[in-house]
Amino acid sequence: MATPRTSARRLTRLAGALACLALLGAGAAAAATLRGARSHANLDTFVLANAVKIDTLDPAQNSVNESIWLDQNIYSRLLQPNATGTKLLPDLATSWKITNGGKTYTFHLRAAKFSDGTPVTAKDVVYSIERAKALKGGWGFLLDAVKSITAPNPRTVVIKLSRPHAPLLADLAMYAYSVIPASSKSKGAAFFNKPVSSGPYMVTSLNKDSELDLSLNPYWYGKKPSIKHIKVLIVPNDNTRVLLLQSKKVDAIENPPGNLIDQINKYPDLKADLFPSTRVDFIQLDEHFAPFKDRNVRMALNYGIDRNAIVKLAFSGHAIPAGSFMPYKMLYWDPKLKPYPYDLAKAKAYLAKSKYPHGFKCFLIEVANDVSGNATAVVIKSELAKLGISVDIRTYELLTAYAKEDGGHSEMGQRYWTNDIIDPDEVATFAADSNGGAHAFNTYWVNKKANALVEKARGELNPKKRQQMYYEIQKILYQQSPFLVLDYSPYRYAQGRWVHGFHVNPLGAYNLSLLNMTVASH
Amino acid sequence: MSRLVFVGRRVLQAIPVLFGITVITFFLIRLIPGDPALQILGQHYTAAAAKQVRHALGLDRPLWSQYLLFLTHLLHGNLGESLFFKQPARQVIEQRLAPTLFLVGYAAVLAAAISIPTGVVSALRRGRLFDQTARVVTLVGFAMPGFWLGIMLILLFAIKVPLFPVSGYGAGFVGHLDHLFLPALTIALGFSTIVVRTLRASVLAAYAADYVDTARIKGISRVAILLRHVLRNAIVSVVVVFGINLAFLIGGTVIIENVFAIPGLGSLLVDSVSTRDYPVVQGVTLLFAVLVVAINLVTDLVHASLDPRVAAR
Amino acid sequence: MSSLASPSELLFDRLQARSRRRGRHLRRYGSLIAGATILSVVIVACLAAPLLTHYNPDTLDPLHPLAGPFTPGHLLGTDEYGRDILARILYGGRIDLLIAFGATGVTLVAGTAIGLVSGYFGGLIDTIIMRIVDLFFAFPFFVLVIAIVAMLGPSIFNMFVAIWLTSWISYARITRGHTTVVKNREYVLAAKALGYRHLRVMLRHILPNVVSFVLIYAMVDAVGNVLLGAALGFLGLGAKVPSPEWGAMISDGQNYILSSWWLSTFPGLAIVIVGVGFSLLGDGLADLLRTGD
Repeated sequence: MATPRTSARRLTRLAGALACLALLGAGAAAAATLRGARSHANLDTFVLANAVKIDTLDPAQNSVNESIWLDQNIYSRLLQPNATGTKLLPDLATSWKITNGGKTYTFHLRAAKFSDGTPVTAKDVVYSIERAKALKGGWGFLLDAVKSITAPNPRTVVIKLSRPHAPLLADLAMYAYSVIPASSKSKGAAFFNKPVSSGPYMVTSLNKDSELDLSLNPYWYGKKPSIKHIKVLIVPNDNTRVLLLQSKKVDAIENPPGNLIDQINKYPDLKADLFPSTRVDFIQLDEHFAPFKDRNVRMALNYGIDRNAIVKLAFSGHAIPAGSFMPYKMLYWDPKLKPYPYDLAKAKAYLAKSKYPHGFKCFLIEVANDVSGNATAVVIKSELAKLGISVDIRTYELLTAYAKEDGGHSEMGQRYWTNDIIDPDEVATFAADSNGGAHAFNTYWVNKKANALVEKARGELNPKKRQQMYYEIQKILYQQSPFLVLDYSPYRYAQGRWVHGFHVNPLGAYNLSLLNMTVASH
Repeated sequence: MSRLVFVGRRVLQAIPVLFGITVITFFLIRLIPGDPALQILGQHYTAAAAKQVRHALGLDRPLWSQYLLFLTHLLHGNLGESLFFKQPARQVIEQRLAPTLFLVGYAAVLAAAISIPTGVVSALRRGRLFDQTARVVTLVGFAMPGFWLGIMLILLFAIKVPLFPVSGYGAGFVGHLDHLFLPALTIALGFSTIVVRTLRASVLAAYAADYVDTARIKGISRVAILLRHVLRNAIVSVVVVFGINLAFLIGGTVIIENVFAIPGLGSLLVDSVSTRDYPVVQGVTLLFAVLVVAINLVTDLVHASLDPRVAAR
Repeated sequence: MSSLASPSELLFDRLQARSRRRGRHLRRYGSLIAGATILSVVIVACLAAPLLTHYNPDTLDPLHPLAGPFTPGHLLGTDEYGRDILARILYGGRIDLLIAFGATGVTLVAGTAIGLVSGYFGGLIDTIIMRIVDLFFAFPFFVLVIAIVAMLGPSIFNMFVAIWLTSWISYARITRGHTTVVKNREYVLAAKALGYRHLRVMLRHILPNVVSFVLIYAMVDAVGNVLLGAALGFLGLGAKVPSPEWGAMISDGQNYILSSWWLSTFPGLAIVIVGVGFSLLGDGLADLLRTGD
């Protein structure tokens, strides 16, 4: 039995525990005050909150947009798109000559250095391009016409084509063809955890789930920007991102929820941006699912979905109903193709002509935590029910959803497209060409005429003739609708008004703006 | 000496439980309807690849042989390969362990800080306003979904009045304390609703004990009685109640991690459902169960050290 | 009460005692009545949803998204699709109540049966069953449910299956515990001596004395199951989009909490009300038990 002495010992133990509690409480309070002190920002650091985890920093392998846009701060390419996505500017190549009927391109490189001080040579450029081109399932098909890439001297790259290829320069400006050191080959995949960078910024720390820290590349060739450090925080939760901005812990955030745009603008210190984009939201229709092989069904779907309702409910009005599958106002975009209007009677008529006059059951794959995507799915489900089409919504994490949508065992799938180059060849190849590596946006739709046109347009160097071909391609896709084109939505960002110069181009890249940006104290 | 025997006995008793856990976890994967190979291979499914996957998973062997394979792997620390991260599941899980442990510990401390004084005062002021209020609050609190409470706390203490961060894990010990306060508080409040009433009852029972009357007659002050006899026995019940309900505490972290975006085991579990990453789901479930067994063991040992009668049994 | 008191005093004392007893009755039955009332109102409201609201929980209204509470026509406001929140709560309540009763009901029956058998027969059966029960107790309940739903695939039915597979253990343990005590009481021994069959003894003699404890726990379990269903709905692992299940509504509303707090708040209140109802009912039963049947 316990003696008074032992119970006193026990009591001291209790007192000790309570003291620890008090300490913890004090600790939390201290943290609160420290946090207050810490939020006084530096003027040479830019803090951005992204919504999606980083998949990799290997430019040849990226498939997640946010990572692609991050790559473009780390690596340079031969050329780069300008701020409005309409022209190409020099990057590592200062000038280039096109000869031999458009089949030989000679690039002259500047005297640039990697972040480890070694010079960027033509050999590195050749290695990088060939590596990306060779990657199975990668972007190599874009450079199908390339016969050889050589480095006659350390400052010259020569690319020879087997046939004229109109988009070559635009292709080379793509993130996939970023330049990495040829010596990185020996390090394998580990290289990309802390890559040697050819671009303005280099990686100082990487945690794919939570944060990427970048610092100025001391050897970068351009004028030193005022932003020396970039912190990219991964914050998947929409509300948290907005709150971080409101409390000034970050300088800019990606993808604020559509319904908060007006609210953000009401804050004196903040503003919301709707940057014109090349984003097209669409619904994949896998033709392995019998009803979608039937054009009548696809037309019924087109007329049975109210794109205005989607714009209103899924994007809070911040989007434009879409007609052509090509991004809004991009090169050779056809403004004459109007979005299919909502017409229930017409939809029913089309369905009646098909083999499924009473409707059918199908599933729609959507991506978890994609608020506007999820809202679109709900609207579609509700509207198609009126046609007797019963849609079962299945939610998966992003990469899992994409994998399930692409395998040929899907039915309806929610997807969006953004351009990676400023030339229409990329989107046309992906969307219209069944041999283009993406099975026509993974619908497995085959149209020989479209295939032929895409290939022809790729090699056509006369702009007027090229435009005509892309107009025809758009018309075919509009009439056949292998996938349902829904809307064009802008890139939504929100930033503090203490940030000056942050700008996102239609390809989604903001790297150029970072070089000229300033962040005032706040 | 008997204490050591007790400890030894308790540890030995835990072993068959651990074995049983592996059996149940083993059967989890067998719940997958249809062909697991199809689920795993997805778009890369071919009959040949499926055969390979089934062989790799040992699905072409008899059930007992599969279990032995599973167990052998486990004992070598091999939890399989994460389908989503393309890394050993064990690595993925290890990276997420710390935030969850921190959260559980923090929540336990806060729960003690909330429930012990409340339970004791409710007992001392039995029937009066504090007791009645505590009873109503407990009643409502018990019915409140943890994730809803978490969201309300965020609304109040991170948005309307920005005292704490909205989400995340933070950096450094102090950063963790800061970021995990609201989530730990949410779990602690839920936990307290269960524990307060039992605490109150055990304090009342301790007061009613004979030796308390004896002490009063002997003239020992009320404070001394409170501290020496009542609280000491109450603490024993606190430990026991905490231990018993710790499974709830741990389960609570799953949904709270989701609400507050904490990169721990709980959010890993939920994410893995979304990605159909079966090996990780299995591994996390196993780990949680092992944690519960460990905590129960520790609880029993603490209980025994506080109350020697337990060990003597 | 003195034996020397006058008759009128005795009468007064007896009247006082009777009114005190009624007061005690009220106090004793207070929780029971309150809980039963709350639950009845909720059940009736949800079942009679078409009578209480002309809105369909799934109808989209692009013209009135995110309308606040007390907007004309929408007492509790609308969500991001313009769907009436009160309608969604009433129809969604059917799902959550189904979870409360359906999940609890099955586990109650199954767990009690298993516990009865285990406690009654004792010996090897008892040891095996109780070991299995202990095993399941080692798993954090919520984690196990999620793991099972992960394997089977997210859906309401699979959520039921997951709960059925894991929840019976508490009932088994409680029933078995009380059974081992009751089975040694005189009336049970007498029944056995009279040669009654096992099943009859278990059902007629043991069960009635054990069932009250089980029912009290069932009330607690019901609250737990509603919260569990809501939690799974919240995580997107239970009710399918766009079901008006309360947990899913709360999860949905999270995205709008900065602009439209009512989307998450009202379904949360609904859950609390149902939970309080069950808890009061359980408390009432416990009070009844404690002060003697």
